[in-house]
Amino acid sequence: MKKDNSMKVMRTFFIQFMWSFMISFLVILFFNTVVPLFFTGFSEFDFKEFQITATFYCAILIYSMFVAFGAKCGSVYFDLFTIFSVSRNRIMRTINITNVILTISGSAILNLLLLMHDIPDRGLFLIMITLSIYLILNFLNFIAFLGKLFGWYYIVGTFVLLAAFILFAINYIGGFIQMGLFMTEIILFFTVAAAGFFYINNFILSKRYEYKN
Amino acid sequence: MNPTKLSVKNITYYYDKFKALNNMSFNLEENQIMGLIGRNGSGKTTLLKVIAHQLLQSNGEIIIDQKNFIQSIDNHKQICLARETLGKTFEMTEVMKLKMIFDLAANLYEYWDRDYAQYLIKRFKLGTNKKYNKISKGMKTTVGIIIGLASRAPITLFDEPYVGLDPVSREIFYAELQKDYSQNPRTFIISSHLINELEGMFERVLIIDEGEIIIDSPIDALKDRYYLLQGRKASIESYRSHFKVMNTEIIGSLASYSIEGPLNEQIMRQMKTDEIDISMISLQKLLYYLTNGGENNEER
Repeated sequence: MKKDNSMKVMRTFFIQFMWSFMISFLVILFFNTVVPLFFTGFSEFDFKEFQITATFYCAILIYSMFVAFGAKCGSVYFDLFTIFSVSRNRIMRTINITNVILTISGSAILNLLLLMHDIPDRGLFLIMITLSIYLILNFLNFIAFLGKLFGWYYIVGTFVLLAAFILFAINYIGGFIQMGLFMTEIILFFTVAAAGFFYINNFILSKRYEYKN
Repeated sequence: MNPTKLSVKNITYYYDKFKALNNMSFNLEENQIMGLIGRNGSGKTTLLKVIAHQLLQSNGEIIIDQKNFIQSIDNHKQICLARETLGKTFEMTEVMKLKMIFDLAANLYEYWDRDYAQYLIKRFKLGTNKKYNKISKGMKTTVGIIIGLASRAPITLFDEPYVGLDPVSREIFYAELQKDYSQNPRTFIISSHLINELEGMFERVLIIDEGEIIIDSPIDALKDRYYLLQGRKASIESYRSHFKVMNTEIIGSLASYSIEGPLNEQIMRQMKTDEIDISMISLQKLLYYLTNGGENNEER
């Protein structure tokens, strides 16, 4: 008997997806670090500065790659598995494991990047970043399911409004985090919200979704 | 390969308020080829998609090997639904090459036969470096056929596996299906409109109309139930009490009656003595009469 290969398939998807991001990363990095040297002269090249910029772009791109991949899991890859009659439980198990792997890797990368800066309460940041990534991934799965179930136009509109609200609130939340205020409440909110989306995705929305195309 | 039995129990499915499948039930023994026949919109594709767990029934159960499909996490290993298209997801994905699709299938189907898939790719002359959204309709159907055959899934479902196919490719498909079935017996359900081409392969037939089963029977049993009588009208009319008439065609004193029996041996001998020719009604004609397609439908 062959073992279950859903995770192997997901890994293949991720590697394909990663290549396009890596190419974008190299192009952006090239334009922001090497191209200016043509104007200022190559003697101006500072390896340390290059290292910081490269790490910064790499972190941002990896983070966006994980988020985009998380969104794709709930939308495109869920469909692909459904076409091959993979059971909803198996698909969700694969997506959940992927979310955990993305969260741990994303959090590790960002926290390693933060080691370059002097930050108090690193442990707290580690928890916050880990929880926030996990929340974002589950939230994106949730949005993907809503889009598939109720139509993308409606969902995109709602999502834009929600994004506007988040951008509006992020200053306050960022401020609170910087000042170390309401940390317990924020961590509790992230945990409860992630658990809520996890429950809704796994036990309600994924059980209702049908592949009608 | 595990022996598999499929039970469809009281399946009802709604598209919004439209009832596409109405309390449908049937059993399928292992290693049979079943023809799923019906008019456009009768519910064939819906039924196959429900069995393949792509659509979720409003009521009822799909049982494979005594296990409920939804409750069993690994039942997907038993089923492969091959359609004329893999759907929008594949159509819209720019980078999806045929090679990637076959690799995906190889990873997800438990009994996938790589060598056989390669053989079929060559047999159908399919270039695996082509992108799925750029190939013709017939080639998309071929992709479905290759996935269906090479999956070696104990329950393989083909939904109209001839759409866009040229006659040569159709013949290759029929030949490969028969060859593979004889070498690797398993359960096939084939939905089709080209009944005359596939009729000889079916061991069992399920005729559906408006989401309900009209006939669920082994093909041999149909031969003992539905007949075409041809002879003098008066002679045939004299046996009128022994059968139900589905359709009549009269040319002068000669008539052709499509009837529902059964007819016993004695009556059949008498009919032959009265120069009435008795033959089997083709499945296509049967579908035509049973779904109210016949203009002279007398008793239905």
